Amino acid sequence: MLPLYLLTNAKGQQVRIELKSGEVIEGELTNVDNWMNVTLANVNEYKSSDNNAQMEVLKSTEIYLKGIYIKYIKLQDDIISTVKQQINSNQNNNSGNKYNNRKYNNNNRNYNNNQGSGNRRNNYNNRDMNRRHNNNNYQQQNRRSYHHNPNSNNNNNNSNEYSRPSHDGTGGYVQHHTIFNNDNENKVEF
Amino acid sequence: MSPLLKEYLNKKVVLVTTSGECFIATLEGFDKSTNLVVSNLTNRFIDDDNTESNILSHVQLMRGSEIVACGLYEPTDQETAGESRYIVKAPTIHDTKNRVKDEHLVWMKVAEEKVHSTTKRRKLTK
Repeated sequence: MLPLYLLTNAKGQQVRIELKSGEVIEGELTNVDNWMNVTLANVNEYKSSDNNAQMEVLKSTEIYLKGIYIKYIKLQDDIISTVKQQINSNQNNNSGNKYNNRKYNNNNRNYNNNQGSGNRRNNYNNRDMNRRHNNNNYQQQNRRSYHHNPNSNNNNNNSNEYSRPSHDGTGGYVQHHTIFNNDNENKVEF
Repeated sequence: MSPLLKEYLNKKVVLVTTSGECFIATLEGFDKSTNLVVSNLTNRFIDDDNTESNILSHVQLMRGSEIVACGLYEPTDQETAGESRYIVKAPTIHDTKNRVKDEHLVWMKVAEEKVHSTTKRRKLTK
């Protein structure tokens, strides 16, 4: 479970953030970005994290906090199970879907869904080849750019199991899906 | 051996932070900047007041810049034998900030020495 992924899924929840200065900020998470900069709503600021010395300093409707200034973020207790549930329910929705809405053009769009914690996610690599490749999962260890927090609809991978290594010579991980093929010209083969 | 924390996922790990604090937690997730998602965070060592190590937080996201080290938790012989964990007394772990006492005085002296040495040289060449 990537930290930023978890944070993105924590939007709308109450969080408690301790800063590097020791101050504590409590509020409702409205937005996160790749650098962990956050915006919070209905914010309370406290001078320190000990419950004895707590002095409520400031109350504001919205606050923008730079990610580099964060020490840690306390989340709700049930957040991990909630997020995992979300993932599982999205998988169940997607595995039966027809792939009409997926446009595989010739622009090589690397949808880099790198979830490094042992989850293999889909990297949609649109290649200009004779046949269309659906769902080629490329384990790109060296290409870690921004954590692309995916719209969970695009995640077709069961987060609890590893994908099998593919034997089609691409060197990646391929997930096998049932394809409802409505294109007559291009047959998809695995 | 893999440099990734993948090996430690869902295991109990010991964390050391830049503030010199030591925790035990279960590693739920990580990323390349070592930002960690941990659950059931507790202090590694117990004070004399507490008899039990309380859970400091159930789910927490720790920023990678704060983390010094993260390793697999292996209970010491004392801990496993006594059947109570975290029985080890807290050693002093310093924070990572290099604080020198009265640092401004040190620098003042340095500046003085510098001026002193340059004036000396001028006298010699004259």
